[in-house]
Amino acid sequence: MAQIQEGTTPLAVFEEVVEDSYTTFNQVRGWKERLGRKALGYFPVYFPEEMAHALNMLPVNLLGASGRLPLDIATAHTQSFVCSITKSVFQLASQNLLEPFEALIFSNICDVARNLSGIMMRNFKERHHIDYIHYPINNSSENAVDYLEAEYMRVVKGLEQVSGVGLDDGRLREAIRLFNRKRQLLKTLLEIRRESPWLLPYHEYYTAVRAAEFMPVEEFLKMGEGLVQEVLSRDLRPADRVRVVVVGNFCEQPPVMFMKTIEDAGCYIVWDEALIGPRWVGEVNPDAGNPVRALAEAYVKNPQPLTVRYHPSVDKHKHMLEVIKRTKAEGVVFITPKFCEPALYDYIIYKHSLDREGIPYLHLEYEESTSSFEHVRTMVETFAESIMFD
Amino acid sequence: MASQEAAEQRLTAEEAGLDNAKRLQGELVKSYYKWVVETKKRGGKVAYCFVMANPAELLRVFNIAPIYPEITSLQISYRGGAPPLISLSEEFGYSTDCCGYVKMGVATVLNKGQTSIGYIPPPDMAMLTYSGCQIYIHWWEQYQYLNKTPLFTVDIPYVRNYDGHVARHDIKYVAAQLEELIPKLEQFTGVRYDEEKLKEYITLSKEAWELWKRCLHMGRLKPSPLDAYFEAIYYMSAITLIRGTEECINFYKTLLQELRRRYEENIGPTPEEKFRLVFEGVPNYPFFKRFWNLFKSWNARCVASTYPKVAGIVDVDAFELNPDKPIESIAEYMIHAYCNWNMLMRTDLIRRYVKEYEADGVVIHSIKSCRSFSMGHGDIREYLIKDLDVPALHIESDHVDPRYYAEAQLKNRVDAFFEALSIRKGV
Ligand code: SF4
Ligand code: SF4
Repeated sequence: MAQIQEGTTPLAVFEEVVEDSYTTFNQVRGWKERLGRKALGYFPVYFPEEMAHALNMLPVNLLGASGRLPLDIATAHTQSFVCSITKSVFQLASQNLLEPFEALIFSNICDVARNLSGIMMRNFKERHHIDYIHYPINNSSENAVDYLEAEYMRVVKGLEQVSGVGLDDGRLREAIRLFNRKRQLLKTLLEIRRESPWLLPYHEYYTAVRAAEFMPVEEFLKMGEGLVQEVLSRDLRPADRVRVVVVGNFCEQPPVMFMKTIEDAGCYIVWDEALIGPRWVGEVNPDAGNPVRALAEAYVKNPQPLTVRYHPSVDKHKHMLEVIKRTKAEGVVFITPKFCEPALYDYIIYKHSLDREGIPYLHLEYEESTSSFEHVRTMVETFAESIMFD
Repeated sequence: MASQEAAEQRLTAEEAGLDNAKRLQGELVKSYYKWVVETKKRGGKVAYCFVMANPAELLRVFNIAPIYPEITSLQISYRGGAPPLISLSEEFGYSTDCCGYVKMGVATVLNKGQTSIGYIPPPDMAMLTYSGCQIYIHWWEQYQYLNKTPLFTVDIPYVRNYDGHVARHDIKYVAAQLEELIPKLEQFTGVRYDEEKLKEYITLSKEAWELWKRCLHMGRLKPSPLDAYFEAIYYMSAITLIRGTEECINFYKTLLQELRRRYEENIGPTPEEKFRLVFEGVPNYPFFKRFWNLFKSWNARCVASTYPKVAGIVDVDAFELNPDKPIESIAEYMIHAYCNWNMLMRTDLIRRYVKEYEADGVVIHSIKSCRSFSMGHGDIREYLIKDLDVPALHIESDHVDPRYYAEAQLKNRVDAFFEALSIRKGV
């Protein structure tokens, strides 16, 4: 099942993987069996995937059921005013659909995900090894790297028990090299969106980067590199559309149709935050004396902002204007998941820098289960027209 | 019937003149604000701080007076003043889904400190102690972008070992950050660090915590002389605002005496104690007294609660201040804020309270604003009812935004809960 068929196009493979990534995870089961690995599911936004790989585990980003499950059990266990990814991951677990994952990892991206880790632990600790990483927020402290290195080692200890494999520096270096290639490939795909978005429609781009969060890294690299070649050889002409940057989809994922509607309503999405975690950490040094420390450093010292990580010396105003400049965007579309406070606070910060510079923006909300996109179409069309005819 | 008549004749603590600690608390709050303004006038600095995990004793060494926007916001809400501030923030761009405290705090700064409870000095600095609430980070970050408020950060790892064990590298990390903070504060304030002073403040704090703990433990008595939620919310101001001072110690001495007298005279916050409750969650401040009345009218007393422990989980000896190790002590205190405990530990604390305080049931109040407190409340209810067979009521409103308080609906739920409890207890 998980074996890639000869002659299948990368996109067809990615589509199948993505379809399986909502509730079934049959592909994950297949890969585990074929490669003899255990599976580690991590709640967004970031996890050092290479660490799992080096422990002979398949790292998978748990992105929720995208509206394909009722949320009744989860609603009884949470609270009314929380985002849908939280509920849908709890619901997946309560229906035992996360059965292929021996380990589940959460982190301090927000209070909702943090408390989710505890209620998952209370209800499902017999089925999964559950842990929680506290990433530092005082990232300019000289103690932050030491702390995160110790924290990674604590988490590794637990995972070693699950996988039955000890962490080996050589294997970790190898894994870092592989995941550097993966991050480079994700970057290349994003660059195609920036340079020639007409060659790779957003929903195809998204399918590829979402599949990357489920597939074994080696297979993604093979398929992804094939996709890049195929896309660059496409003979397509640009359409008259407005170039926009999309901000806010760093954790809960909007329905694919939501994003497609933004493009179809007259935009090219030239940069966005979809699945930003896996690419955000950038190039990690595989040859550093201590590869676990190198991973900790890559997190702590990364100058790129990430909504769920506070860094005292990051300037978000400057960042927003740089992204716009680099991507030659004409406007910003903020899309925030319903009840996602981190996204709503960054919206205010970014909005003020745009107000000051007179850059147009639009704010939309979504939920995993959003199924009617008419108002999105109308709002984006009006927004795009206002930019075009300005 | 006869006992009901007797109960009707019995006085409440307020009617019997055994409610002086609350009046004293009001005076303390006033003198605290005066002290902040005077500190500022004398050349000291004003730091915005959070209730959870602030290093108040350390700041005092540097002549820094803390302002707690959470407390100013709740005081404004308590007096009905939240709506204009919330509207101002929403016009500014904040969503209805953002925490009401953040909206009120930002609006206060936008209004240059003018509020319905008086002038709140704007911050010279903000102490970003990240413990128990992720929104804290986003909130202070707003000030950083709004008016370039310098932030001083101390990252406090979540207690994530589900058995409650705190990793050694966590305490080391927090203590090391406090050590890093000292020269930064010296530079910012021009005041030299004096460890002897810090030890002195810690000694004073330690005594206050001890007294506060004894007051809270009186909820174990039958009947309980205090409401360990609705009244404790007034009483906790001292430990938050002025710990490290003699006044703070004196306040808890007075309170302890008053509670003892209440117990000796069989007087409490309600005419009698018909139900003993454990309360989880943040209260409703705009309608505080009416909200309390939903429970009071059933002669229910809260014998233990979690919310007053946001300032430190004092009653189960989670941390202990040691003046000889002042920095490590502060680090441990910072780690053990109630919302910095994982959900399993929080749930277990509630279980312990039910058992040790012999409660009849648990009320869980979720608020729209606060996911830190409320996310997972449904799970606590499931655990209590299904695993422990403890009656539990889960209700929702908000702590500052009056738009989310539907009293008729709440009253129906609360009444139905007490009716079921009455049948269960056979009273
Ligand atoms: S969508 Fe937002 S609120 Fe929900 S888990 Fe992710 S970061 Fe937290
Ligand atoms: S989210 Fe909760 S803990 Fe955080 S500031 Fe708001 S009310 Fe306080």
